[in-house]
Amino acid sequence: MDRLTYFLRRTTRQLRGASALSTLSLLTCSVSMTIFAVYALLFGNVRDLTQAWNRRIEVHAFLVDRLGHPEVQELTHRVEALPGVREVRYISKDEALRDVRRTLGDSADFLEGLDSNPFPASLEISLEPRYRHPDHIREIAENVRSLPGVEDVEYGEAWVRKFASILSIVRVGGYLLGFALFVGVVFIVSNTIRLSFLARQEEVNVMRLVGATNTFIKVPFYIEGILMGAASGVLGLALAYAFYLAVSQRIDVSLFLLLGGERFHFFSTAESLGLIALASALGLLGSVFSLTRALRQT
Amino acid sequence: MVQLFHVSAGYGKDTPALSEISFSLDKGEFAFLTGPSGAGKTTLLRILYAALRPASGQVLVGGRNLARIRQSEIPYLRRMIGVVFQDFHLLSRQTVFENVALPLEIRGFPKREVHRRVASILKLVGLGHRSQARAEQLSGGEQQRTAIARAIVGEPALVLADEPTGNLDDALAGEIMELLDRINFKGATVVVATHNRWLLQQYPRRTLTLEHGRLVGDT
Ligand SMILES: Nc1ncnc2c1ncn2[C@@H]1O[C@H](COP(=O)(O)OP(=O)(O)O)[C@@H](O)[C@H]1O
Ligand SMILES: [Mg+2]
Repeated sequence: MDRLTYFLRRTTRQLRGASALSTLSLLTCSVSMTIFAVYALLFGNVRDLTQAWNRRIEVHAFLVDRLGHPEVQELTHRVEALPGVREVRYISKDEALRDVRRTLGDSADFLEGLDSNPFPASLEISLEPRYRHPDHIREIAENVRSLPGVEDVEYGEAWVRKFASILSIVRVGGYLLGFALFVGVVFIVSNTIRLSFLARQEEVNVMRLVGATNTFIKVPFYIEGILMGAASGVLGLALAYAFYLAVSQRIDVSLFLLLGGERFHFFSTAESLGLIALASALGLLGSVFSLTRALRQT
Repeated sequence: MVQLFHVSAGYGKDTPALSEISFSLDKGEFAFLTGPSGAGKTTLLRILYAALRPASGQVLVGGRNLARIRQSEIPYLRRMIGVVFQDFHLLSRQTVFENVALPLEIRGFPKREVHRRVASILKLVGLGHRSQARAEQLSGGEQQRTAIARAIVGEPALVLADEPTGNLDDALAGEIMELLDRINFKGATVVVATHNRWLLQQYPRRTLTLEHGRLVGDT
């Protein structure tokens, strides 16, 4: 405990002696963390949205007209037996018509002119979560299509699938961007700590002469690096939050609700803490690099 | 405590700063190291606290062979040695208290113990009232006494003092000597490098004399 307060006292002294340059470095690191946070924020929201769509991916099997009750039951059982199928719901012709009416609302008037119900009966087939993948869906759909009594099959719209592959490209892009930004942060912290260390060369020499180990000399600089990382994490998060507020006011909430019942949301507490922890780890890494170099030189 | 066998050392020049030095000091001994400026006194002390590796020969300090000591062991060697440097090596921006506390902080002493010991050492060297002054605000004599306080606060087994009376008049030099005597009396081995003739006459002790890097006298 006394050890820790001693080290913190030394760190505080180091910070008090910090130059305008290290303030600039801190700001640069904060901007890097902001860029990363904003990217992660947008990516996370879009990913959650597509997952919400994915959850609703179903296979619809339209049935031939005038299928008798026993045939429907037989078909339902056979579909239920297929691997990956979670639940099968039968929609009769009447229910289909009612659904369309409800969806169309006021503009449903033209339906009144029809003398027969043009909508086919169908089976709504929901899938086990791990089968909600384009390849599995197609397989299940083809299996259903080959069953007697099935007229046609429709499933997971193509653009949702296309979007999923775009998203994975965006994810890789995020990794690359994140990697570049993190390398930048480590590099900047490492340089800042090196300058702080060199400014204390005399003190370091004296500590050596009176018997300080390398670890004892280094710890306050490690703390300085961690603090710098953590501070840029907090600042980055704050700026990202400002961005979030500005953007979420401009986005029409109903748009998001329509797209999948997901709201545009900020990071959870755990994610925010994770981001700060990540930034602190980058700071530590930077100071480890700089001190390994600096101590080898002296 | 200290044993040297045919020790030579230098700074990469043609003439070595020290050549073929051999002597030994028992535990609890007091010795002066004297000789003209440039004779090699500081160099010899630097070898004893492992700031300089001998080019040849063997050096034993407190059971450690400094000709072969590993870098990672040096801090622990230095904790059993208190050094009063010729140019003090005080941290000028820090207070007297912080300077003197440093060797104890390094050893991981609890805060209260640090306070107790530093306060009592500062009283001993007559700087009790200056403990919150920054080192750069001190007079030469006060800096010297701060340097001595820092050297002895950890109760080292070996005290090396390089010209500890360099800037002082005879009266103050006498006070410093009394102080070093007191440490020696408590059991520490003490080596004082000096070319102060008055001191050598006033305090007759074993005296090792260096000239041009050679040991020319041991009385
Ligand atoms: N850092 C150094 N680099 C090169 N030569 C040095 C260095 N320190 C001392 N010397 C040389 O070594 C010799 C001994 O010096 P020193 O041990 O300082 O003598 P003293 O302390 O007796 O005055 C002198 O010739 C001096 O010039
Ligand atoms: Mg000298």
